[in-house]
Amino acid sequence: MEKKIYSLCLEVLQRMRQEGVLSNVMIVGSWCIPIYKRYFKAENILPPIRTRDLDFLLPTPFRYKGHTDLFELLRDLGFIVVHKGREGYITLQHPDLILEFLAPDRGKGTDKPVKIKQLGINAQSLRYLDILLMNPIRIMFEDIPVTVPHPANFAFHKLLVAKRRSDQGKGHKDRSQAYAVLGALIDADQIDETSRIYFTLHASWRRSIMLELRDQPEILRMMPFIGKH
Amino acid sequence: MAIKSVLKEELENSMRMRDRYEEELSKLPKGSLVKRNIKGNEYYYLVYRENGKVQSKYKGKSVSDEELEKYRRAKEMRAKYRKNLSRLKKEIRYLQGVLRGKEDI
Repeated sequence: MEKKIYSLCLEVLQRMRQEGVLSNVMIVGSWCIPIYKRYFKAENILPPIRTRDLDFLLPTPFRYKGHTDLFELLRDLGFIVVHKGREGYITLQHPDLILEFLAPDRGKGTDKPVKIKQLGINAQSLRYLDILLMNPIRIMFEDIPVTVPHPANFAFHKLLVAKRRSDQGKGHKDRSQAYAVLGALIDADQIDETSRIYFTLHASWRRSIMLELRDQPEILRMMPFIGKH
Repeated sequence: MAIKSVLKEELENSMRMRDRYEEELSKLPKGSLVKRNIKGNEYYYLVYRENGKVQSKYKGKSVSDEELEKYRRAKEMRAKYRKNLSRLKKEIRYLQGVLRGKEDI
């Protein structure tokens, strides 16, 4: 990963930490991959990534007690506000890094952004994000404590959303990241924990996950619980 | 095909970002406040560029700290936005070239 993207990301995380915001949000998306390298204590266990998107998942209701205007917090780094989507959720953009804010959609998918008053933003509402919130883990990432989903939740979520992508390129990326993370869990001997997490998921989701892994015989061999009821 | 769709999305994003940087730049107060010493007295001028020419506008013998801070901050942000804008423009040209098949990925 490019050094300047990495250092900008760390600066953003550091500022959010100082304001007490970071402990109330979860990092999701592709940036979990470099963080999982710390979790698995192995640099080469997961593929390198190049992504500008740094996604934050905000649990709702959002329990942060303070008030921090995120745009003002990061403005002097050169970030600008860009509204996206029909309903206008907010992203903070810089040529090196795009910050996106997500919130679980527990309804029927209204596309309406979720207003997070404490941070002065509108978060994009998406389905299946609750899976990521189920087993949060805390990891030190370059001396900054961050919260990410358990790798098994990350992988299962990627498999569930892959086929729902309108952009198949993104679906392909979701699948390869999921396979890589499941492979890392196997190497780290976390098959029992992965199994436990798998059985906390809804039966129809487990079926979808199994279908996504049909052409991955090695993963199915090492994780024989996948597909069982 | 997958790479092409990723590049296309990157291009659209960079173009949207470019437009927003241009918009933000146009919102910043124009010019810089400069202090000139004329015959032992200090005077403030707002120096800006108009139609390619440098113009000076007299602001008075003193200006408030708030006004000074406003122009100092605007200057700082303008430099950052211009730097980012220039990078985005280069990136857009490159991505357009790749998508037309003129540049190597």
